[in-house]
Amino acid sequence: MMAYFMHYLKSNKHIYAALIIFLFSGNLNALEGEKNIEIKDFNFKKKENSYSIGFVQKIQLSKTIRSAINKGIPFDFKIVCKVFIKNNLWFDKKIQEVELFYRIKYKNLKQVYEVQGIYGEKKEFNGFDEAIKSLNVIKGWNLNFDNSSKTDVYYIVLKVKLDKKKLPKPLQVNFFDTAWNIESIKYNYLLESLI
Amino acid sequence: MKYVITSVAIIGIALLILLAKSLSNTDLISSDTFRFLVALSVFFVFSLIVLIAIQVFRLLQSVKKEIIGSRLTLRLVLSFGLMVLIPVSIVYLVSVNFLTKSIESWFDVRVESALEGGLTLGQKTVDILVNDIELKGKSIAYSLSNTLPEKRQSLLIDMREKFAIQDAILFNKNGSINLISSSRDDLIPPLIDSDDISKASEGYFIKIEFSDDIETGDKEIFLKAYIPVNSNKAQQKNVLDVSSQQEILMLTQPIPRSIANIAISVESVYEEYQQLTYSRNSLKVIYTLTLTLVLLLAILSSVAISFILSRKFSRPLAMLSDATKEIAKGNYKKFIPESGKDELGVLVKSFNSMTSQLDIATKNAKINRKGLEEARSFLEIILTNLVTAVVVIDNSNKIRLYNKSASKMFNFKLGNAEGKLLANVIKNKKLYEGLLRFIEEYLGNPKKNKKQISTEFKFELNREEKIIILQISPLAEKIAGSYVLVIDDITMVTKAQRQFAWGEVARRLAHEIKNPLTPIQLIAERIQHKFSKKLNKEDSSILDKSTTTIVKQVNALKVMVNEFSEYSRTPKIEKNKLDIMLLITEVVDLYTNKNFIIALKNKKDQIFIEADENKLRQVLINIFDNAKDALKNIKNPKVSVSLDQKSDKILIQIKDNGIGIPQNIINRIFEPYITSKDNGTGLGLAIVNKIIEEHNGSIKIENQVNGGVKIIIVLPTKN
Repeated sequence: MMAYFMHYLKSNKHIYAALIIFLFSGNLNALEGEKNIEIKDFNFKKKENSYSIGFVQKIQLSKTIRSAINKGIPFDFKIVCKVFIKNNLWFDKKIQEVELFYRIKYKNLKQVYEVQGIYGEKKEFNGFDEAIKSLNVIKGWNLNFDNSSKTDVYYIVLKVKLDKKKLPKPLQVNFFDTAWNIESIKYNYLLESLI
Repeated sequence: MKYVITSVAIIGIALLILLAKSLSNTDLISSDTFRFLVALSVFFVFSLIVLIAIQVFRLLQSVKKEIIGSRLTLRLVLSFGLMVLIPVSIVYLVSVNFLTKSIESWFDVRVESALEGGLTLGQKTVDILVNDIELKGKSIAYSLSNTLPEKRQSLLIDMREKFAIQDAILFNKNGSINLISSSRDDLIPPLIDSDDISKASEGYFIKIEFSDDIETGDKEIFLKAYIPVNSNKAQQKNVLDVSSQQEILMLTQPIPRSIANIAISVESVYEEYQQLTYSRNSLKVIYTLTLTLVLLLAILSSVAISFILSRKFSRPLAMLSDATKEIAKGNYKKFIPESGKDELGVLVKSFNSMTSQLDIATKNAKINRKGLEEARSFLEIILTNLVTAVVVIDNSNKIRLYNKSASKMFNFKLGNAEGKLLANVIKNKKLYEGLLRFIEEYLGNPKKNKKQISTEFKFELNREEKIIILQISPLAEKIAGSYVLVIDDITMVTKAQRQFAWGEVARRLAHEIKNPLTPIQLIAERIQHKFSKKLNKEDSSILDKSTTTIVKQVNALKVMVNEFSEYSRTPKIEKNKLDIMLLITEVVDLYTNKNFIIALKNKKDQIFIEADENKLRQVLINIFDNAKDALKNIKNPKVSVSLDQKSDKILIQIKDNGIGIPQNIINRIFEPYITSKDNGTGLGLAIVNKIIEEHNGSIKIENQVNGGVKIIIVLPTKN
């Protein structure tokens, strides 16, 4: 059977190769949509045994998303921070990965916007813009990693995105609807230039 | 093909199960996994499409090449495909329509309005309660600010009870409790946030807090009002810093549990409904996508499986058709593998049985045919080599079969006479007139033609007497209407019999006559010797004359008897390598003198044959003796001898210019006692003929047109 299967694959290898390349070359990423979170003013300070990260993010939400928030659908955002050591011959080595979450939710009964910060602190705002604005500044995020090697080159990758896992399942799996793809690009910061 | 399709179908079904699972709100499958599953399903759909396209292409190629079974396979595939496509498409359309309508039916405007109304109602209720606690709080705060310190506690208790507030606590700016009053006995004094103190310092505010009842697990809503309480003049007498005297009144009032539960429930349902509303399009897309993939995988798998089934069904028929063609070509060894016990299996089994029987029958027929051919060939060889002429004719005298000897006898070409009338085929009709008439009479006589009849015919061919025997007999009943003519040329046999008879006569004559001849001669000589002197001259002369005559005649009789003896002797020749040229030359030299010249033509050095020298010498002597006798009274007598060699034969021609042989005896000149000479015995040429025949040669004698005789002797060079 295997021999027959291999023979068949061999006889139609061009077609299969084209299909595999199409499916796994990231063509589906074209469905991901625009990048609507912008990160700027990234700052990186060394403390005694760790590093403190801070940045300013600008979140732009479409009318659909604002409307969804106003209807009480909670929006959880995820900040992913990874530290890599560069490798010229192979994939870069990841030495640290930290995730933080913040949340915005409209409390229908209370008629306030509840914002839960990266450390779990909750605040309530009467206005949407006010609530979003409260999330713009992220600071005091501590990272612990060993960068004692003087020969290695370290860099940090930062990305903020809407955590779709917390959304209703149909919205999670419908990759055709790009309105719910709220994320930033991957920001790379060379550690050497930051310190 | 079948393994690939089975693998694809199994993987496809697994994928679809996972897809269906992923739609339920569980953490089993992430959105990335779902995406991967969809991609994989699409991949399998494409794989199946490619597979089917290749199969269709191959099938069409087979149809084009008119490969047996391909048309049936195509027809079956189309039938199976349509059988699947039509119902599945209908189910698909109905399902999509049903699904869309079902999803749409969840989102009724009235439901949404009711939910919004319920939520608004809850909000308004909360607002009313908030306003209520705000007013009460302000009232208490005002009263407290205008009451003497010693009366504030009782005032707080009175007003709390009056306004039916659960807890009323007065904090100073440091967060310490100045006054407290509660409807609960088990109240643990709470702490106040510095943020709340600072916020309350700027103005009152109300917080709505949710908590869970530890005992019942129900949700509770508490309204917490934070109202600044400013000290009045009476209280400020001894205080320097007014701001430092500001206090914060915190009132805690739960919303009635029944209202709180409903409000929370409405909020929760409203939010879930909104989530569902936003998921509506996605649900439609995902369900439709899943259904479409299910449909495509189902249809494509079915079509692909239909190829396998069609081939399975058509293969035995194709093999049968192929085998039938092979059998039509004469290949009875064709065997179809038997599979299954269904009708096709039975058909294949029966076909194989029929083929094997045909094979056996064909082999037997072949063996029989071979036997027949061998028998026919054997018969043909016999007929061909048969010296006897054999002709098979039908009752209309048409030739059906004949052999080589017949064609030779009647002088017609081989292979050219079947179906023709015997009378038309025979060239020399006059010669065989009697024979033809006899056959016609036989065929025309119903009484006669049932029996076997033999008869003898004599006729003259080339001045030689020919004797043939015809035996005509009807063939067996199975080939009725056919008659076989067996014609034997018995000329030579008759001749041989005659020669044998003469030989017998000669042998007896020699035996009976030779014995008394010597005593007669001796007695005659004794009589002459004894009585010639006693008698007178006249008598003595008569006696001498008589005895001399007796002796002469006795000698003549002796010569004759010797010749008879020679003729009748048992054939006994001793063949050796003989230079015939040398022998002819020696005999010619023996006869050549002034008056008799024998010319030797074509003289050659040496020609060797295998022959008895003495016998051939006797042949030449006999011939030359005859020639000498024939040329006695001829002026310029001439005899010529020529010798020629032709492949394995030699040809000796002897010609003279004598008187020739009388025409009436020339045909029988080689028979004993046939002679044209007055004193000849008639045995010379008979002996010559006998010696030549003993050498397997032939001799022919004929008169020449210009007079004289020509003798032709043919002898084989080898034995």
